[in-house]
Amino acid sequence: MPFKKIVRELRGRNKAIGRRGRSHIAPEGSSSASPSQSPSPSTTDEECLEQSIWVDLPPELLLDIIHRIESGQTLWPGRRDVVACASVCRSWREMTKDEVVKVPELSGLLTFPVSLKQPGPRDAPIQCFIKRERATGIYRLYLGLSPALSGDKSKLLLSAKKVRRATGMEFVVSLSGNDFSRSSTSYIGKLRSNFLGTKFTVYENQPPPVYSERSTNRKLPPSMRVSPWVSSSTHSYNMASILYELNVLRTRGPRRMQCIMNSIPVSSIQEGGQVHSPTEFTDQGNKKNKKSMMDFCTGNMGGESVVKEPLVLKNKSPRWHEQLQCWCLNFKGRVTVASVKNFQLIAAAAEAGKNMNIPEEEQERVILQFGKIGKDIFTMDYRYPISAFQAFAICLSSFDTKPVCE
Amino acid sequence: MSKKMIVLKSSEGVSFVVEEAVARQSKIISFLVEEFPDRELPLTNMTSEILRKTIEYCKKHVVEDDGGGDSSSSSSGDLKEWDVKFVAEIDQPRLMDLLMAANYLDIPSLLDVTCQKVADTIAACNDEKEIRATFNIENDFTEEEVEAIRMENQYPI
Repeated sequence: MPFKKIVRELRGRNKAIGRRGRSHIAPEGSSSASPSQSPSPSTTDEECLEQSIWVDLPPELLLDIIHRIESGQTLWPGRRDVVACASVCRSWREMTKDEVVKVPELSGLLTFPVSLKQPGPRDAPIQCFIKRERATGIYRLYLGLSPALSGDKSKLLLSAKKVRRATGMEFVVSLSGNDFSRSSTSYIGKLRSNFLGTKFTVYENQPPPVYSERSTNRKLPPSMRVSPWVSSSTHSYNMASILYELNVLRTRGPRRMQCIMNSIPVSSIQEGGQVHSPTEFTDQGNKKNKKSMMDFCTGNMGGESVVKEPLVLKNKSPRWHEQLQCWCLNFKGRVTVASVKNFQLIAAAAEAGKNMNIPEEEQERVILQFGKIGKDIFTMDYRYPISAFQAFAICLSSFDTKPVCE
Repeated sequence: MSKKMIVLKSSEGVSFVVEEAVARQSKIISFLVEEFPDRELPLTNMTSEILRKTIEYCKKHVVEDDGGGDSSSSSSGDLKEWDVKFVAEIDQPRLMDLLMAANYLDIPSLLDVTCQKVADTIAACNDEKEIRATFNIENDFTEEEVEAIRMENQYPI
């Protein structure tokens, strides 16, 4: 401790007081105050000195500095600075990812790609918009209120490409705006439909999280929660199923859908509930995850692992507006054009006669809202407990035409 | 002359005579002055240049704190402006030294302005390569980590 050193030195110097006359007294503010006998450091020494400044920099100061950058940049593209901080060196990365950047559930901000797989904020939803490119069949999800309001500053979050298969439709979801290759690191998952377009399955290109007593511990802060990804090989797992109700009789009425969120337990929206939040986008180069894997690698790490009681989402029922002669939902100004695709999803409080024990307030809360605001432009607002990727996948299912459902 | 003077000594052995009120803005010096009155204080890990800068800062602030009775709002605004100018004039390596000095001597307001300046400098960099170059930081990532970072950085389009 340098401070102790001074004190020690002062104590030891009792006898040396008389030697004060030898010291220079430099004129303050003058630029040529360096004494003649001062050692002139060589350039290599100086370089070492500069390098060591960062090595010696107390972590709390680095933390302070990165905190300042983070709190100053809550909007994109300014938030790129925070990502840059995490790319400088190991200590900066650790500091930025583990200490400074909070999960969207708490901060309401999207920073690293992993935040697209983390649950949205609990209070206000994250507001996004989707642009459809009809010619190429590409759908792009941007962060922001609308293209008009966010303009060039809107940040691309995810893209999807529609591919026709013999058995049905497939949407390949990627982080990149134009790379939809399955082998790419930007590939994050896919949405596949059955032949009729009534049932969709969302696959995520990662094994599912394992639920354990510890990961649902309420006391653990989100940064402490473990994320036991399987590190050996990446493969898809069935993250959610989306079912559209058949309308065989062709009676008039809105679409009805149901989303079974295989990776989210219903307990997540019960009082004090939590949902698993991955801390790394991929397991690449993450020793910590591998270590926690060792702790959690107890059975159930295989492919189709699902939570015992998955969260089920359903449409909020629209009401029939007599004067307008149409079905209406209150989108709070975020949806402006009537469309069969528009929907609001809420938690299904009961399923198959079973009471899910969800607080009334949570039953009313819109978890995902999607709707049209212009030609090929749609808004998507999502919140806890679903992630941006899950929300986007559900919205994509609404794009696929379903003649049998209407 | 009722004002008490104290002597601070830099790593090169240069002594600086400053008013006690000026030096006492450092919590460490404040403590040392009480423990060891009438003694020169050796600051062995601070160069004369950095010590002089630190004293310049403390002097400005002690004056403003004394005389700011009636026009406190405008003077605090001026002081902020002065702080900004003060750190703007310092080059990169010196800024880090000054930051370390502020931390070492425990001068909260100086620590605040230097940290902010470093944060602003980082934010002004275009990418992580520029940050490394500016602050002379070694890239110690493994190849695996580099790949993960590459993916993160292509993501903000």
